[in-house]
Amino acid sequence: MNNIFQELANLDRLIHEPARLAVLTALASCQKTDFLFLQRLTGLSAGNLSVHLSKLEDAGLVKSEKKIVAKRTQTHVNITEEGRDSIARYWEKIETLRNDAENWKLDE
Amino acid sequence: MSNIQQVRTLTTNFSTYQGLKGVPLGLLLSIISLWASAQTGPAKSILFPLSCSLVFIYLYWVVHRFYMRIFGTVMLTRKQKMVEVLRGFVLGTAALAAFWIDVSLQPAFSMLGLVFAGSFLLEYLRIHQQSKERLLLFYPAAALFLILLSVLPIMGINWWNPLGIKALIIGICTVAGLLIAVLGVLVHISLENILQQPMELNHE
Repeated sequence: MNNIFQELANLDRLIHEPARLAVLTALASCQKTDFLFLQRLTGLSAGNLSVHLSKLEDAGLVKSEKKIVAKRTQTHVNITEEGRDSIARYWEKIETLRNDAENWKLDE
Repeated sequence: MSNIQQVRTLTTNFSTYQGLKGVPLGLLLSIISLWASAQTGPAKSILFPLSCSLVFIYLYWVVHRFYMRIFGTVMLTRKQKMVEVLRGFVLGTAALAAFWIDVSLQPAFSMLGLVFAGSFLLEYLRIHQQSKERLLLFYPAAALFLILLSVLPIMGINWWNPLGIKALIIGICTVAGLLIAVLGVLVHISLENILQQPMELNHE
């Protein structure tokens, strides 16, 4: 059973944070989104979301692209292959942990 | 946004959640149906339906811009877009075939009404079933209502006559248009409610 706690502790903290998890899950469900959509989805302020995106971008999990359309800056964000693999691995791990926890007995 | 499944569903079906886009389309269908019902003999001018179409297409564009400015945009993958196009094609073909059956074969019930009802039910089962929004139960309710209206003529009940509508198919189109508009508003409210939920992902 200790393994479960060990596994929990070893979860990728970069991904495990709720807002970043939501961002990566959303990006993995489509080709790309704009900054505004991610902001509405997470309910974060623009500054907070920028910080989270920077962390994900620094880790090579997402890529953002800025464009000026009708005198407005539009930021589009998409997930990289590495990001897609990471989020898939994360969910597999969560699923394994959930199954292990369901089968867990106190005397083990 | 309360759970991760909702994040996936909302992102993948973001265009469907832009419910207000259905309002001008639904109203256009109803208004043109009522115009068709008011005609006696062949239409002398199509200026009214044409100008209505232009106004409502413009309104659709305004709503589209509203969603872009306020809710942002999502670009689907090529595969997801293909599935969306295919779904639209299948539903469009089914609606055209049903329209042809209603007009040419004139069965005692409305095939078009059943197709509209089927599309409401499919939409509910495909996307909104997992939503905890009770107001989206209006989808199956609207489907049942349309099924009822479609089959009532079999029992000899011509419900469209007291409403001053000339034919079953026109009545069905008028009601379906109104239901599309109402459903659009409800889906938009649902989108607002989903986005206002606190960010507590529970990994469901």
